[in-house]
Amino acid sequence: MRRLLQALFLLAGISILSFILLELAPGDFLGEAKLNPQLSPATLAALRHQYALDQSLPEKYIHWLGSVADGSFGISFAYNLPVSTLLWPRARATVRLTLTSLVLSWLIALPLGVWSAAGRNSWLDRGLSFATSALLALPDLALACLLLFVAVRTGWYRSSSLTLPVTVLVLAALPTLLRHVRSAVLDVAGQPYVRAARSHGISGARLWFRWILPAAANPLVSLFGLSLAGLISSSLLVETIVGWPGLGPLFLEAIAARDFYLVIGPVMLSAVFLVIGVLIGDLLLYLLDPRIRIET
Amino acid sequence: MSESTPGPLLHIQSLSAAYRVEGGYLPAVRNWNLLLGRGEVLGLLGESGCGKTTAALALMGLLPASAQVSGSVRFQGMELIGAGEAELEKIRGAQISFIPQEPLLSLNPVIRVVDQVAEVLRAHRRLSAAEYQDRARIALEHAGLKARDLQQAYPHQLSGGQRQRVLIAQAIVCGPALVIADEPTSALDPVSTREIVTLLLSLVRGLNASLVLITHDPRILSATADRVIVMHDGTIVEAGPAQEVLRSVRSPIRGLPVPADKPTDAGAAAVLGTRGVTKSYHRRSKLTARHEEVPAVRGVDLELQAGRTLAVVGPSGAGKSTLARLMAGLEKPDAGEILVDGRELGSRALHRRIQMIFQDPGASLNPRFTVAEALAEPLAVQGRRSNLAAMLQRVGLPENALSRRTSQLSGGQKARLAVARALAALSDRESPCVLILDESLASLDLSVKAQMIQLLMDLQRQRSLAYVLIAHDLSVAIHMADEVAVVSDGRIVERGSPRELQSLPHSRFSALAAAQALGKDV
Repeated sequence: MRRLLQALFLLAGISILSFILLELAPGDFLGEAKLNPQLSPATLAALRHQYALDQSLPEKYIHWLGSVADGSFGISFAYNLPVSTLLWPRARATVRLTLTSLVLSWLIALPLGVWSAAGRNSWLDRGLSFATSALLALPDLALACLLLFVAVRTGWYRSSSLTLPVTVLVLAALPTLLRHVRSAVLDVAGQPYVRAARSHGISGARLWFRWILPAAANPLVSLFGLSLAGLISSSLLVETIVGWPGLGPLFLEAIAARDFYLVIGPVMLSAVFLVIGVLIGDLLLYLLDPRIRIET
Repeated sequence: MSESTPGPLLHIQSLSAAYRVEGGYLPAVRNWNLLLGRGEVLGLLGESGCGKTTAALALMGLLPASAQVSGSVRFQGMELIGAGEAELEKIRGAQISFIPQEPLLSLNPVIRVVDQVAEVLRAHRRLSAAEYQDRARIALEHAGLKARDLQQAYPHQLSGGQRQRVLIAQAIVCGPALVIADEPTSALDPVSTREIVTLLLSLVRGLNASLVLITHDPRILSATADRVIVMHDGTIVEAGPAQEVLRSVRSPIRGLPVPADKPTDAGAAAVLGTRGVTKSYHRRSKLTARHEEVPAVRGVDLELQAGRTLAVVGPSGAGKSTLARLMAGLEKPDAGEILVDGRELGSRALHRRIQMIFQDPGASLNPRFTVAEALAEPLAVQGRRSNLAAMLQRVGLPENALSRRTSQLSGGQKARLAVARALAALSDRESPCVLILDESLASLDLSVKAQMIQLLMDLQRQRSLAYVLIAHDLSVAIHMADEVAVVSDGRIVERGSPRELQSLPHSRFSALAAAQALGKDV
């Protein structure tokens, strides 16, 4: 409950901050219209009034809060539509993309990380360590461009397919996750209760997945929430490059056009995702760790 | 009690084990030979760091891969040294089971204890899920953990004795032929110790298994072991029937020369004093969010002169540790004053004349530091330099220990290093200094404890140190202290020299001593 309240405060803070930052950015939606000699200053002023651009910042903010309450999230200047109608289909596409990537990257990272820890310093571990270093060094953008190039060349790329953006996102998220899984698991593997388990003859997959992994879950669960947030922000970039109809392209367009409320929309939405991710992480931690569950 | 079954259960021949350290190998077990019969109870006695645990781990193949093991261990005719991991896994827990040392650290914190027992069974038998649970439950019941909710609990919800019972259940669930118990009682109070040892013995007899009981405490072996072997520095130095061997092993503390009564100089100024010191803790009830005040120390007046030792004794929860922290300046009193040389404790210079050594000397050392780094740290904080080797020598540590990591030291060596570090932090001026020892010797073996007492008393003589000894173990207090203060409920209820207090038949001190003596004769 207290966490929920904290989350609301956080969201309010983020919204105010993004309002201030956007207001500080030079120019507004009508910036280019001003250069058009056919529009009289009177028309411009009328337009400004129509779009409520002549209001002060607090007025705008309160106005926007009202629009949040009625679910429209303000009006897009460029599309002349409520932000929500533009946002929702895009958001669904982004969520589909990020959730797939999230699940997939964890499904790969957990066994691979444990495997790499179990065979510490084996060829597999060394190979993975090299691969993750390489992937970490490569910016997401470059990775996306590279894969796009390969995909177009080999011809297996279809714009409606999730494959390409998911591959990029998974490859971008994987190195961090892998390294954390490996180090968390290795940390637990050095504990006396693991040696005790070995002295009882517990070994192999049972030892690593039943005995060690649950005890290593604690730091990983916190990472889970953060990884969701990370995936959202890198998906905005990747979507733009591979042309996935998610929030990314819309967001970029809105920034270029200084479409005030259409910028705020995605910003707030990804903030909400972050908060949800962290809340899910806390909830999982509560479910997974008896020490936390029983003491509260 | 040993039965006449053909062939020994365990036949160890010239077993040696060494750990790899920088620039070579450190031998921990040297040339062991041992025959263990079926159903026999063998006591393995030795001080910490003598290689007892290493020997047990070596014969189960559980030493780190970097360790060097040689010799032969034949278990029921099968050679274990050099056997494949898969074969060893079949034997561990099923044929030879091991009860590890620390009951809290040896249980997985996120798995219910009944499942942890079932997991051992699962590693060795193919049964249905319900059967695993049933058998685990039965094993826990045999080990004395009968209540259903205790079986379903997580380790952190259980007491030390209950955790130890879980470890015992894990050890017996597969019906092994040999149980090795590594200091199964070191974390327990005397009453639970007796219970656990009796339980272990009856369970092992029920299985017709052999038991190797590893301990540093000869008292728990006298009534349990058929044979006892004594280990020192990796080698077996004595072996024979329990009663014979134990007769020759005497409590090392009693062997120390009793110090002569120091002349009391009533006129001498106190180096450390407390005047009406009071401290309470605030606790917030989770349910009602109401603050309650828990008084820990209420109006304590004490005085301590240079070169003398004050022991603060009393039952746990009496406020001894709070008093120690107050005197060390780690906490501020709610009322009253702490005086060093008559001045109120506050300035840095005064703080530097008081040092504290905590309950577990090992835990207050950073395991990643080398000994040299650990020693140099308090000096660096004060911007001083000193001869580190000489400091080690003063506490009886070899000079070549400087480059070792603190985690590689034995319990006794860590205690010595903690003393060296405290001495380093005390500024080397003429002015007398105070060392506060908060149960610092409690976790040590008897023989190491005796050595530490000797060291502390030598240092006191050389440097005219004043000691405040927070002690639970009265034998140490009696031996070292010039004056004893008995604390109860945050107040000093008795003061006097140990002899005075011992001679008073109805003193609290005598009552405490009697309670300890009763609990101890296992």
